[in-house]
Amino acid sequence: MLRKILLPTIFVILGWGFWVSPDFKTIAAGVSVFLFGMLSLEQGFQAFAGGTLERILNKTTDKLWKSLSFGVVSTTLMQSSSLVSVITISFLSAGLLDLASGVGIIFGANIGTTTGAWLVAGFGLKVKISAYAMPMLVFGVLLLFQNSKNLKGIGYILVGLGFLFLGIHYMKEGFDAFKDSFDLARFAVAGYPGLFLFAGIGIAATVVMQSSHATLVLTITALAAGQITYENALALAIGANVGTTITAIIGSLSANEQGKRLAVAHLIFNLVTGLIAIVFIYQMMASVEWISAHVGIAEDDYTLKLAVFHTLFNTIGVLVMLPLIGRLVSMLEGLFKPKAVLISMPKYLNDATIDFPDTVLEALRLETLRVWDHTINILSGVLGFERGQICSDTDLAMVAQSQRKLPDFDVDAAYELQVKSLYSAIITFISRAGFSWQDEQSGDIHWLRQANQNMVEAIKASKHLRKNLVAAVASTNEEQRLIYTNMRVHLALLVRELEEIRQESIDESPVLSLDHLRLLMNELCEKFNARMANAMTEGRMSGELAVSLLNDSNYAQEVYSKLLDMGETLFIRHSRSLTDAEHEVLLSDDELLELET
Amino acid sequence: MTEKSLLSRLEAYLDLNAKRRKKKADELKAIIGKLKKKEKALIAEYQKAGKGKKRARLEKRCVILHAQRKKGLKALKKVNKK
Repeated sequence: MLRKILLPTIFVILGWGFWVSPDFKTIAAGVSVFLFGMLSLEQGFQAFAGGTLERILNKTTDKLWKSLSFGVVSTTLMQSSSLVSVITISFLSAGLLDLASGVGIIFGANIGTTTGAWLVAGFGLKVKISAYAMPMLVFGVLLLFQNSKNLKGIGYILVGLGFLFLGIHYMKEGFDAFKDSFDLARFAVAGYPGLFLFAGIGIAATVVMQSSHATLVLTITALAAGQITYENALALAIGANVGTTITAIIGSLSANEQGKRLAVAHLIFNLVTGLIAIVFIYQMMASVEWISAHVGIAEDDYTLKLAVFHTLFNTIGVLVMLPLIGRLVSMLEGLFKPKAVLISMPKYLNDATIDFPDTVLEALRLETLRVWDHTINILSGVLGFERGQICSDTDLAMVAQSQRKLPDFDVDAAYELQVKSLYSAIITFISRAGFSWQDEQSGDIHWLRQANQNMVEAIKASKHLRKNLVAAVASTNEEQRLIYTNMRVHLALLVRELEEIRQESIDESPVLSLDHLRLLMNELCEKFNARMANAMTEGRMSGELAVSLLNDSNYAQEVYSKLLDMGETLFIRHSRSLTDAEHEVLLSDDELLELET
Repeated sequence: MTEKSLLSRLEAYLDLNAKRRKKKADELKAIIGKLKKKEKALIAEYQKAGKGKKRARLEKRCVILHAQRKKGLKALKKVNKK
């Protein structure tokens, strides 16, 4: 209900404002142009980064000071703490970052965002900024028409900066003209009531505009025009800092518990910092005066003093909260417990990850590994072993020989429950995310899809085997029993070895291919054919049994080769990028054939 | 340093192919070392394994690793010759 009337109300108020004051119209247009500039800038960085930002983030967040510095530098460069926090949430959701590093980045972003105030107060108001905006817009728009993704990205960044500058110019113009007809400073409220009132206004303005930068620029331009008092401007800056957490909170709504934890950490940090700033406002004002006098800021340059204040209270916030980061993390982990994920539900695929290519790839890889985990369960059931027996050193041949009946197992039900919905979630996610990416990434997506398909096909082929496996274990025909026992033991051993290679691949062991398993498969087939021919010649096997054995041998071969393809894709070639030297030592088909003979 | 040796040093510095070859040789050495270590470990495991399917699998893996290492050594020789 509130949502329905909010937008029309804002429209009516703005319309009334435009009618009453043309200067207000200029200010509002300035804010709109500024916000549009922010959007273009964010779009530019997203298109331009193409995974670079994520790669840097991944490499530079293993220590707290590194994640803190990353937050400061990236926010300073992009001038958007919102973009940094949304990327951080997506990384956390995909399991690529731990919560302490994420919190470190957010703390750093809070310091990085203060550079915006310095830029506007020190540069934006003192130079005719619109002179820079015009050429930026012209060059930017020209670049937008280019086909190259990177040039387009630069175009968006230039257009974004151009609109930011233009917006600041309009706001400045508007406030300068506004002060002649209307004196907003009359509404100034002194003391603590004023602080809380203007902090509230700062929060509301930032929530509506979804940009603390916009609120801060508006505050600085209004302060420069003398439309608000210095004290109230400080309160607005505090409010903008608290209000900016709304973007992270909105971003975390579609994220998992890790993303939510980070958004709450952001909120707690900004609330605590804001409270400290309000409680110690007079001491901080005195500190600002002292710092300003020492760095040569003029007595009446309130805009630069506001920038000093903004930097000071965010830095104090970081210094206060940094020692508490461990406690904050454990409190948040207790507050947002991970929901028990249904085995058939995706765990890593969520909307928070979909905008960032490398994050999507990692989420898909982790989800595909879950499909492999469930495939082990299903194949264990089909082959009549327990998962624990397959994934250990248990002598499977001995277990198989001692069995006179296979445990009941419903392949279809297990597939429906454990794999089908996960597989379809992966395919749907790929189809949502698979466009307009760099070729390399589209290639990885293709392989991941293929690996999933291989697992599903292996399960389906194993289903056809199951009936005769059950019959053979209970059979009195020793030859039939032995051949089928061999078949399922070999398949189970393959699953065991693939799982071992998966574990090894985490430590970059030099398993470069699964060729040894391919060789083994060919050898097994030859042995099987020879054994069958012998058994038929010696009258130990009927023609009917031979036909069904041949069919089952084909199914077993299909399971074997599909699992090999999957393993090679998922655990070897795409778990890490092979170097030229590694490619060099891989064996070709002819060389393999030579080894066989 | 004579003019001639200075020029030959400069030539070596600017020779991108030589740099590429050196990088490849280093990579090959690293991978050959890893393969050797793995092969040794597998041979030890193979000797411990009793007769059975595990032994056959380990044998196949040893054969492939050995062939890959040989191929790597051959490639390294070729790179060094250039």
